Amino acid sequence: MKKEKSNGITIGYASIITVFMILIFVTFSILSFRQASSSLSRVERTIEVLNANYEADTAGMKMKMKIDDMLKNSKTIDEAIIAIKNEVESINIYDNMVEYTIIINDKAKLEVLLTIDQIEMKSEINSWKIITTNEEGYTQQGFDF
Amino acid sequence: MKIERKSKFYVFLIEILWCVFFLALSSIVCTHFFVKGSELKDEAINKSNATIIANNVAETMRISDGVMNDFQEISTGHFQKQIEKYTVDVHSVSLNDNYREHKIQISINDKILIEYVVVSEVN
Repeated sequence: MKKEKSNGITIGYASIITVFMILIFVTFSILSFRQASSSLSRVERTIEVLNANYEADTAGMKMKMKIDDMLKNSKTIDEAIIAIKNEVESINIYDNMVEYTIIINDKAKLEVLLTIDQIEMKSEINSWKIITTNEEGYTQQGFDF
Repeated sequence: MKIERKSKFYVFLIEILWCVFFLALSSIVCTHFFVKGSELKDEAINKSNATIIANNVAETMRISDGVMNDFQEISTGHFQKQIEKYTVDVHSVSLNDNYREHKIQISINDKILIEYVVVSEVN
């Protein structure tokens, strides 16, 4: 009578083994999914950092191009320096050196130092480096994983 | 006695059927997770490889003043190269006499994975 009341649902060895198998399947599938998901997010984070680096690099080169244009269109170096100071903000000029900084993000910045060639009236790269605060494993090439 | 044996077998059969039903149900969910995981893993591998290729191309552009020796010219200012299953597209625009802007795209089956813009100086 008791078996009839249970509507055919009984817990035997088969059920226990099945529950165990289901648990293993679900655990492994979720682990596989989580691992792939975290792997993709790591790659996307690296791409984001490299993209920001290249954007800063492009901005730096465009700034250099602007400085070169002004040097080319000026007759004397003094005239060029005045033009650069008026046109370009956040730039330091001392002796024959031009220095400017491009902010990449809150953890990194690109520092550029150019030397002005007074004879050919053009700039040459003296130093072109990314300065990082090295917080949370942030490096020039992205994050350390 | 015969009736009792049939009843035991029937109960066992029902239990097995329930087990098969739940196993099938969980298999659907698990397969979905495995397939999604596999897709994400493939995307991660593709993006990782595309990053390496894009970095190499971008650095080559900067060092070689934007000269593309091993690229095939598709149209004016559009260069293309195939690296394994990845297609590298470079769209070059002249900014002035000395500077060129290169838009580097790495794609696979017309799906763009990564895109960089690099400016090179022509000496």
